[in-house]
Amino acid sequence: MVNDKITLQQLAKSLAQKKNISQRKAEAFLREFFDAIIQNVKADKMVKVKGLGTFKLVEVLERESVNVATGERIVIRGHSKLSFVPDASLGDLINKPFADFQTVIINEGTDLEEMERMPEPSEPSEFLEPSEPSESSEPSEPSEFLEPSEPSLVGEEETELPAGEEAEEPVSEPDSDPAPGLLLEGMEPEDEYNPFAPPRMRALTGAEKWALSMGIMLLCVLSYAVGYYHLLDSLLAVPQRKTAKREIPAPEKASAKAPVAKKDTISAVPTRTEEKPRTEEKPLQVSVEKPRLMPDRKYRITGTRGTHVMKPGDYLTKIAKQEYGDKDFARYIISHNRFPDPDNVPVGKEVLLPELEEVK
Amino acid sequence: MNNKEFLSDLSLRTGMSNKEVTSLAGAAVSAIAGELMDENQVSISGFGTFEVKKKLERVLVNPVTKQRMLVPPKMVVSFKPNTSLKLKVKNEE
Repeated sequence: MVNDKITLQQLAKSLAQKKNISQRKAEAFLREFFDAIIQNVKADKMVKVKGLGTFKLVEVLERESVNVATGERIVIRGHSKLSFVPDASLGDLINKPFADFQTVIINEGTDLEEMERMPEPSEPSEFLEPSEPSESSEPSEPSEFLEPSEPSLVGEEETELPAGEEAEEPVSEPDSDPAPGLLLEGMEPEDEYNPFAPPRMRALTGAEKWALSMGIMLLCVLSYAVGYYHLLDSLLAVPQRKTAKREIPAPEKASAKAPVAKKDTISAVPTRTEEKPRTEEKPLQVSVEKPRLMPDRKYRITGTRGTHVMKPGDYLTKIAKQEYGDKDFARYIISHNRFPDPDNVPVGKEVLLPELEEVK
Repeated sequence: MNNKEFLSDLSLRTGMSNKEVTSLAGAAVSAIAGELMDENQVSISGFGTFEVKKKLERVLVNPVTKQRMLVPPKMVVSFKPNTSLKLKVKNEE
């Protein structure tokens, strides 16, 4: 399981299983194992355990400090700390998910706003070595490079330095100067870009609230419009039967703009209306009837009202004439679909038929 | 004290053969590593806690060339000694 706290007993259990020994023997061994580390590191100052890492006893020089309660100056005596640096093999094993990541040079002009704030760098003369040089667990990092966030992290994460640091005793061996001049780039842990953390939630700003409400309103308006036109479509299916008869005489008086087109629609209508009474039982059916469109007016594609599967001998202008009443509507079909070659649409291709609405 | 010496000492302490100690120690370390890979903490009483910590990516600046570099994020093993151990060690003169 993830994020569990494993005890010595649990370790012993898996050790016992793996090595086929009793739980008691495994526990006893582990106890000796860790006691041996403690004893030997005290004696030899350093113990290396293969596959795990190196335990070192690190000397901290005495320094002056202040009693936090009284404010009086006190001396923190020199003492030892236990440090641990993982073995290279263990480090690689743990870092496996990030194994292929490389350090990259940032090009000029790259925006790092997301990652950090950018105050003016101060004196660039001195710099801090990120971790104890001899114990560096990251030998690949050149030591002359500056870790700008180091100082603010020392007290908080303590990840760069060997483990075992108390918050009030930052280790700065070998020299006793606790805070050499640093080239800060002003990173605060809270402001850092954290790829591990789940996305943070924060309250919406005024602008964001406004944008959100506008978005929601727009969505409502759009759905109303879509519903309206959809309904309109279905309603068109019914009156077609009645209006068809009226339309036949009407186009005769129509303008001379597109007489050919009208002729087509006139001829198209009577044949359809004859079939209609039989096929159209449900008045609110999604329109089987193709709405009459004028090719010389402007239309807007408001959606898809159906599809057409290409048969041998089909071509887009033919479909356009069938579906919309004029071959000029082919351009709407073309813009509504993605054809690598509109002149040669393959047989069997399902062509989306756009829903057209006249732009008044 | 290197690994060999440590195992010899362990052999003396436990009374087991060098071979057996090496084998058991290896298995113990594997067990710890396995738990750490599962992002579990290994907490040994009287000793300390091994933990996997995540390190965020950071920007380095080469003070000489002023070149900015981006170090990728990584996971590291950290160890925190127990308070009792810290005291034990602290007072060694």
